[in-house]
Amino acid sequence: MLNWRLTIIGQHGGMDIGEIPVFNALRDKMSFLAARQRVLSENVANASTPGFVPRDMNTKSFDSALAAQLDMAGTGVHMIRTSSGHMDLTTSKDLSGNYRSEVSPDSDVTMDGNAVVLEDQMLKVSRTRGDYETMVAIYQRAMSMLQTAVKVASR
Amino acid sequence: MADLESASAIAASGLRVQAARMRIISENMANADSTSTTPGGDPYRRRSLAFKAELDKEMGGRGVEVYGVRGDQTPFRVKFDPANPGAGADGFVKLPNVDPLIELVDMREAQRAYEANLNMIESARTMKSRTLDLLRR
Repeated sequence: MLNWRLTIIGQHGGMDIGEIPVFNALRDKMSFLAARQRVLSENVANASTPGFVPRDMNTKSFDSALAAQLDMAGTGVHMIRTSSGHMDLTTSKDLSGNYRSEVSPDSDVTMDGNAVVLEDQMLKVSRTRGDYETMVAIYQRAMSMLQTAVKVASR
Repeated sequence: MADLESASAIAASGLRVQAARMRIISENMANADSTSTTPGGDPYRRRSLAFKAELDKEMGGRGVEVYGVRGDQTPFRVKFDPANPGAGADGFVKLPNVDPLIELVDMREAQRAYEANLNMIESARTMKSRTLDLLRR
């Protein structure tokens, strides 16, 4: 699991980077995507196993867990949600363990009962990889913003 | 990170079985004309692999492994060739039940599955290296 522990010690005690809501949310999403990649890997490895039905992450359970987390009211200054679909990152909670894989047959089943279609799986793999890289890019951006803030403070 | 390691390990198990499948296919192709060495005996029998999904704790998921190698029970072809050392008393020699066309199709499938597994490893590797890039900042 991805779990970075970087602590910034300030006047008001320690602050865990994992506890900063943006980083926390990104970490959860990245863990989710890595877990999805593992499940897809099982499907691809078993592309010729008779009777094998592919699995995929239950995105609904992850999304609803995320939504439940975002419903908890936060304290302090935070952005106002103008739409119920927006994320409110004022609270932090570990979402790992809130997602699991479930049976998800592809578009075609062969005569031996194998329901893996390599094209479908490859599409999911590249999408997962793209999402992951997006999360890493956002993480880097957020981190450089944090660095900017730290630099100004230490001047 | 552990999930990405597992993803690579599982895809590697896929590479292993597809390579084993390729080996069996090449055995079949090489022996497509291998007749018996004893008069009236059976020629080379086509073989095929069976796969099964296997939960591996160390691997961290359901990898794939070779379940067994079976002989193909399709009847042998026969040809009248009394000069062949494998020919029976009636002059007929049994030929292997290997159909090169089936082997070729099987080979293409093994190749495709192998490439898909390689692609999987490549994806997991890129994701891992992108994550490690975060440390360089």
